[in-house]
Amino acid sequence: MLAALSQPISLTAVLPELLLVAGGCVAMLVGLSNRASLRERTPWVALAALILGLVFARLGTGPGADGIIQIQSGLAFDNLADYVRLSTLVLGIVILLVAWLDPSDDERGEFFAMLLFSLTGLMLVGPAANLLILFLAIEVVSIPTYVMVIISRRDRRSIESGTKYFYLGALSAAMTAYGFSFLYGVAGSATLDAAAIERVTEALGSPGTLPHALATIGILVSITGLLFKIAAVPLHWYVADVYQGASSPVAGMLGFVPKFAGVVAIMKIVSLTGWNTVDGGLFWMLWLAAALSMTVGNVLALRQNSIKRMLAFSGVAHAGYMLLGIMAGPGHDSLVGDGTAAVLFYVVVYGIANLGAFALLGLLQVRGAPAETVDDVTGLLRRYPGLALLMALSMLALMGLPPTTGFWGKMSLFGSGLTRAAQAGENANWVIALVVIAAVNSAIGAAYYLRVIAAVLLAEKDETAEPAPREAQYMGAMMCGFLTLVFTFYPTILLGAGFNASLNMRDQAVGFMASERPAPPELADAADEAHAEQAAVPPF
Amino acid sequence: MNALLLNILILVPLLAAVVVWCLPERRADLIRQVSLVVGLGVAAIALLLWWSVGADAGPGNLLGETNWAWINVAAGDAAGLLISYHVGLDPISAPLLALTGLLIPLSVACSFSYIRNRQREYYAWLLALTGGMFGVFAARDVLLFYIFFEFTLVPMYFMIGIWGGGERRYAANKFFLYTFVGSVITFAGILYLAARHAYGPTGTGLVTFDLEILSSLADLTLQEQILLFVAFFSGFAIKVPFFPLHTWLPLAHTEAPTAGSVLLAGILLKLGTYGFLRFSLPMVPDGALYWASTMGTLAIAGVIYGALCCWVQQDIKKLVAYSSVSHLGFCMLGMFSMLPVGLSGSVLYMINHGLSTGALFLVIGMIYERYHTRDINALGGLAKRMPLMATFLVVFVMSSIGLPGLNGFVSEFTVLFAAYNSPVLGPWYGVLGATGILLGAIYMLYMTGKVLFGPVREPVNTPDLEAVGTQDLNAREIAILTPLAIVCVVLGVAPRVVTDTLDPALAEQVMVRIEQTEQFRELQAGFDDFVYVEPTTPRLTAAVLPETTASVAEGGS
Repeated sequence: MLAALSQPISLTAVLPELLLVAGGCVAMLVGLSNRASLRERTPWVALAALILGLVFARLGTGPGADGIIQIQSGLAFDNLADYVRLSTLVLGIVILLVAWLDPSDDERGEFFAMLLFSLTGLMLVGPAANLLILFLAIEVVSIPTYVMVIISRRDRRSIESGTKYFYLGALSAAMTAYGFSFLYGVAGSATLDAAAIERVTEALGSPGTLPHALATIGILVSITGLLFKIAAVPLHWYVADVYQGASSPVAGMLGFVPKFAGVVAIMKIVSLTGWNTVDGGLFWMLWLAAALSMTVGNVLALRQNSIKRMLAFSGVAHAGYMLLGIMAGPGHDSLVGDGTAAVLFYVVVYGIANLGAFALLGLLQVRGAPAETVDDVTGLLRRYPGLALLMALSMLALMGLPPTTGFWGKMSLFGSGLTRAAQAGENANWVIALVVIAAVNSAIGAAYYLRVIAAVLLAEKDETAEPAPREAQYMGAMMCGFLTLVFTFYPTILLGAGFNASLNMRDQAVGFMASERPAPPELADAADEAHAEQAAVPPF
Repeated sequence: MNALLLNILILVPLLAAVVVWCLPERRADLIRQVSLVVGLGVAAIALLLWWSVGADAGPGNLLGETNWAWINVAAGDAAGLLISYHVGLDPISAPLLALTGLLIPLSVACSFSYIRNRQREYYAWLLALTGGMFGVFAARDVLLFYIFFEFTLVPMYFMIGIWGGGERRYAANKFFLYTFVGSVITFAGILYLAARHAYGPTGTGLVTFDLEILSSLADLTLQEQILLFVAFFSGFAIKVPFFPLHTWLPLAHTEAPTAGSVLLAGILLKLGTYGFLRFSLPMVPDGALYWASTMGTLAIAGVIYGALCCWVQQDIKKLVAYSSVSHLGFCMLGMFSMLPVGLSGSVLYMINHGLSTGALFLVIGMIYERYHTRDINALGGLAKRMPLMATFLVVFVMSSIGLPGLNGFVSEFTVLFAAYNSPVLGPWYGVLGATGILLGAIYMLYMTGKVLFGPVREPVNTPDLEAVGTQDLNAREIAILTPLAIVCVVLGVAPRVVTDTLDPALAEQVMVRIEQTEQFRELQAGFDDFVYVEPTTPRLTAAVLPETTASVAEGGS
């Protein structure tokens, strides 16, 4: 393990991450300055770091021209890393805009530093090619978020929710680490490479032996710990309290950053099994977690009156849809058959729509307090049509109404599930059942999103919420709406990027699937021959 | 040229919706004028396109075809995902497109006096709905169809929810959720079909949603087809609305503003029947045959149940709403007779129901604007007060109950004829269906008699002439109803203007797929020994069975 970590690494490869860390340190210093005018500049420092990071990430090299990916010091800069890095930076800018005026004056430094550190962690989850690095990257994502929840608001509720989040997060981190230790034992190395995949699949392929038991425990326990990050059942209980306690921008961020880190990490763990997700304990675990997350999340969301709690529970349901995609795995060389590409697309578009909704909630004030309940946003259309339409757009995207982004996401997720069913052997009907459960659930979800839309657009009320005069937050909300619209009418860019990002995982999956999947070209030839034969026979 | 016109039909109303939304609320006149001009324009284009559709227009030779790869994701040389903006008309979709075009300016015009608040938003939603409805009928890509199909929910949701009656919020939510639940299952079915095509035994790895490709899959097993039919059913049957799933409809119709009811009954319900015809039958013919007798039974149940419900209604609008349940039962009965004549009658039924029910809702709206009630018991003898209105109402009622010479008769007769002669249904279906006509005549005439004739009964302080000006119909209202009355008569006398092009297209695109199935051959073989009545009305069935079987032999090579 240490040998792998001690390999040299060129610092330019991680330049964007380094820029973010440096930016975080500067932001902390600037935020602690004793000159108020300087303290107000803190978010500008963070913005500069993110934009510079974006510039260098674009200039930097992904996988080499020869397609060979070097694993250096536990980091592999492949297409997935690129995708995670770019989407993190772009959404990071939006999150920053949304949270621009969120922290109080004396806590700006800590707040924006923590934001940058958390984003850095997420950017490292993408290239992590070593269990140790992966664990560290996830913790770099999580620990700053505990702090941000607490300092985002100045009342007891935020302290309560932050503490709750911290303790449960520590528990889940312990589970993940425990699971990783088993995997290290089975694989004989912490590096997540082809050799490790081979050893783990070999262990999983010999039931009744000790390695089989150890590998199963390792996979299941570490994924269970990661379910906390994406807020899936059974580790979803914290989510409503934490979202409600945190300020709206931070809650919006929690819907993207830890979820993204969680799904990528789960993918990396599942890929150790060579994507054999359709039988054994892993199948049932993913199946149950997905089905229960969707159902429990939606049912609980139906009963909420607070939009923040509603969005929190709906996040649980969306985690369930993502688990469906992970179960489907990177099956085919085509998009609708590729569950991991679908998840990568979905987690980003969900993050955008969710952030947009929270940004608007944070922007709207009812008698000085941020809007929270459905009643607070009632009748918005009359006085603020732009904000009302943005809110409706976010809700429609979350609902998955065609042709919004959520619809494209669900199309790829459900499609990959149905495709995978063909390879699932005796579990095929269960896979199809899960897709049907997901479809029914997205209809249940429509009910509570529609309630918000109805309140905003249909109902009339004399005293509506007022938007606070915060230009940056306006801009953040508008950027969410803009990105949603772009990906609604031109989803090809992001779908294609997600598809490229899952390239490596497709390669990992081929080893397992090749036995069940006849090579397509030969098949097409055979079909052509069959057609030719038919044509040769004169009709009647 | 035609391609340009067809795209104008879909895109211009959507653009106009944005423009209207941006106009200031106080310029209500301008808003109405813009909407009416757009409405008249699309009506002219839609009728022109329908007129220029020849019998030879079909897959490969669509009228006004545009095929543009919208979402195209491929990885290197590997096939990927292809979703196209593929629109085009054939003789099956063209008449429904023309019906939509006809009803749009009328719904715009009838709202002038009815809609008093938030006019800017109202006309914007109405125009957005227009674009969506044209899109549904023009789409040749299944996913594009689905997108437009779902998109129509949004404007209608707002039209009911903002400008509806007392229970509007509840009605709008029920309408939206009911339809959405069904259609996500349909969506799963569509995805399964596309994935099955791409990765099945003869798959190419390309996930495409092209209508022609997906409706010519040959290797689906019976089990798959049965389940896929159920998946399609859950979305389309709710939209139709089919008997046990119809409960959203009376509420939505009653609460919607007049234009909403007209478009809901006239067009949106047809999306369901059109879906069955376009997707369920050609894509899963074996599944359709498997379920045909169940569908027939439910259709009959709907016909009779809907009619009985109508009989006891006190609210005229609710009565007409329930009559839709009954009438669309006829439409489905004809479709699942699996005979060319039945399919043709079913499409005619869609058009005729759109005309007569739309017109009835318009007249009821006009009564309501004057009397602020729709209670049958509160009104009476209106023929004395409003002779012109009474004339129109009687014409549309007669059309609705199928008086020979008017449009309703042709389709009703054809549908029952087909059910009687069908190899999958049979005489009993025809006989039981015919009782629906009888009941239809009873409830419609009962309502007409009470409202129009007898001693004059009016609620106190009415008629309220503030909005409309005259006691009887004013010029605008006459202009709205006259075209519908003319079309009702024309289609009653000369249904061939529709069926001449429609029948060959149905035979070529739908019947072929049904006749290819093993089940149908067996059924037909058994049926030929038993009794086979040669269709005696060749003018309704340009393509009778023996001819189409011959064309299968040619086409099958």
